[in-house]
Amino acid sequence: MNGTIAWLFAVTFVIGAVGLLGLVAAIARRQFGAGGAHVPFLDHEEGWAEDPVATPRLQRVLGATPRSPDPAELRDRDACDRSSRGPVLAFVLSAVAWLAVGSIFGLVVSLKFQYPDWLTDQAWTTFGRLRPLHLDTVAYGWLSMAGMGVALWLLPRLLRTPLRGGRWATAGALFWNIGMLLGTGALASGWTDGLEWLEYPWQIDGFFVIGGSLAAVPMFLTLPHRKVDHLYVSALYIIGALVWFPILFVVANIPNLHFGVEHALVNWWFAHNVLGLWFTPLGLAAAYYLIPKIVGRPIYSYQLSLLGFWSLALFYSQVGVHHLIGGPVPGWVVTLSIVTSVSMVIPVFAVAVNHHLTVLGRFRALRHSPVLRFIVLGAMLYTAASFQGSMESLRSVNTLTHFTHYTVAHAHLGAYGFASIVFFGAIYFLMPRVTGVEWPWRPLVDVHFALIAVGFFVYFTTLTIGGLLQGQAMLDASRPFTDSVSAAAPWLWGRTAGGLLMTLGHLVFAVHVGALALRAARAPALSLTEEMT
Amino acid sequence: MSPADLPQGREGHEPAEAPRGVPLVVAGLVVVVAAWGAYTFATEIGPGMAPYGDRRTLAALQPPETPAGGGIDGGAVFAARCAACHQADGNGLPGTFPPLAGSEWVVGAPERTAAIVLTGLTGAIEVKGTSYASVMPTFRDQLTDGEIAAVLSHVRGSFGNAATPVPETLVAGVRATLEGHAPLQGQAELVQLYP
Ligand code: HEC
Ligand code: HEM
Repeated sequence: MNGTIAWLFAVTFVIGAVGLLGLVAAIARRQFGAGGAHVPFLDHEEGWAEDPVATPRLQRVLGATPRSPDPAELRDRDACDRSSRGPVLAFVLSAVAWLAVGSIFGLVVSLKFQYPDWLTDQAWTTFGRLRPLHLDTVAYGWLSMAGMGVALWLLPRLLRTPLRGGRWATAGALFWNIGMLLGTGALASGWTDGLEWLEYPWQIDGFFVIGGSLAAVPMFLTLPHRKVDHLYVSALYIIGALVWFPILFVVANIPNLHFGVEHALVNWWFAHNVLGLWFTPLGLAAAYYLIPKIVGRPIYSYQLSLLGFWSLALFYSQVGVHHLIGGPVPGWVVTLSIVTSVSMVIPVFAVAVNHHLTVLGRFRALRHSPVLRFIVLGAMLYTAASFQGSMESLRSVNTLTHFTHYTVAHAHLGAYGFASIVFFGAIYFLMPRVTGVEWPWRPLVDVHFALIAVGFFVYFTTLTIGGLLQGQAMLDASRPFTDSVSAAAPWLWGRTAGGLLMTLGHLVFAVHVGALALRAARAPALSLTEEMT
Repeated sequence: MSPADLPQGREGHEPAEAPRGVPLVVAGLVVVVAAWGAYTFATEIGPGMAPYGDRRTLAALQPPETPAGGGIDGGAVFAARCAACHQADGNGLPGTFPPLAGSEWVVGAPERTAAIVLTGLTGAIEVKGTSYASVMPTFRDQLTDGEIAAVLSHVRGSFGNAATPVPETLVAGVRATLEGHAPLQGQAELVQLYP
């Protein structure tokens, strides 16, 4: 029986991989007709680089000359941004507020490793309650809402037509926020479903299901009106994410359906897919859009984009069980997760090469474009987090790193280093566009970047080292367990220090976003469309 | 208002993808990963291979082979019944629980140790030059003769002790003699019963 399963897997896997190459070859031979890549920029047109926060030096450095924009294109773009204004602001502003709250939770949790007796008289301020509060606030409040906001802003631009039914998404943001408030209250009061990433009680999950589905309505309403004959790769990622997430969330949260070992499998299938099929595609959609936009060049290769997207779709949904390596689950599920985890190097490498070759030769832009700095750093850390994840799924590495702080460092490399940092960049880019108001204090953007870049570097390196020492101590049966605690303890100060810088950066960011929103509320936004209509 | 005043006016075209192919390195990587994956499936899942995620085989999950003679694992009985007091290394706890390692009683006449385990022990006993006056419970109803023989054989042959195993019949004999007997009153009564 096991032998049959093995061969089935081996054969399906090879067929999948060959199919992937076949798809790419077919596109190469233009068998997809008009759908193939179509290049609106010709070589001499490239080079108009933009960043709402950069100085005119950016353009000078890239050797580009300002060109007066085509009025028709400009009008369309302005119409797109205005159409998404309501839902984008609803999602982005909520996300930033949850980010501030979630980071403070994280910082307090981290301090508890240094001061275990601090804040222990109230049940809701103990570690066991604050840790899930941190995780769920940053995952569902910050990352998810920021991702949906960015996606809703990108959609009309990608489809070149105003967003239809934006109000559905605004209502979605309302439902989502109600879910967040209720969920936060529930966790604080000790009411939880008790599984990591699925903590919010299922009775409250309905708000997220409704909120998420409403957020996807404009996508379905707008797609039929698209004015492009070819979907840019960012659109693929957004469509994928908005379809995948509600399914994952509903399946994993159905009460009284999952039990025992199977429940653990569903738990980690879900938890990893939140990263891989929700945060990752939304983050990649933003990176794929903003990199070429800012450096003023087309993405290096259409086929690489497709290879990256389809191999992510093919492999990601099976990697989650690598969280249970060594656990009492069937061996073939673990092997399947290891093979697909390692296979993730294909989409990751494809995306990394594609982004790198797009920016290659224009890295000088980084010195002058703060937004690009966020996006490029985020994209690089995506590559790093993914390769690290593939390695961690190998049994030999996993025995050392499992159950240690190393895993937490890795989680932040993906969720923070990649997704959060890309969303920071995207929000800096989109806010002036949807509000028509410029950023009030540009130097604050650099302050934000410096704080989080330094903070995250300290956070990640110290926690990684601490985790490895902890793992070594735990593996050595001749050392008492407390050795593993004392080996990691000094390094946990690094997390607190780095996390403090990151949290300060988030507060700076939140103040800046708040100030921009206030100005936008006071001053009527600039708009071409309004003048013309 | 001039279009260039809008943030949108400072942007280039919407991004596109150049119609370039997949670089050879990437295609090569796909082939390598596919081959590695197929190889891993074929070698890691198959007849006779570990069916569980923690790599244990069905055989490893079977109860351990029963030791020859007696059929009971004395080490397991010791861990379950005695180690809480006499400690896993048999050294006891100073002042409270006497050591079994190197104890003259353990390696001495097996009837005496069998009697201690069967009836329990209270009152003064001197072990390795230190006097103890504490209470050890009876195991008369918890352990069978076979189990007592196995655990005594185990302590007599472990922790540096090197005395002969204790046969089950000997324990059965002591049990019959001390039927209903109260806990032994220290080493005085022990020596008196089994000189
Ligand atoms: C609840 C604690 C406890 C448990 C369990 C226990 N003992 Fe004891 N044992 C004692 C104490 C206390 C003494 C000393 C009694 C005294 O001071 O009169 C003792 C004395 C002895 C002695 C004689 C002194 C020596 O150190 O040689 C032997 C032999 C012995 N125990 C064997 C065993 C064996 C075999 C078991 C398991 C079946 C066992 N004990 C379980 C507490 C315990
Ligand atoms: C805002 C972006 C952030 C995101 C997306 C994020 C995400 C996460 C995730 C996914 C986990 C679970 C890790 C795991 O168990 O594998 C986690 C745990 C944690 N995070 Fe964050 N985090 C963020 C910011 C912070 C900050 C600023 C701090 C401050 C120090 C912090 C401190 C912690 C701590 C202490 C834990 C618990 C680790 C443990 O249980 O040992 N995080 N976070």
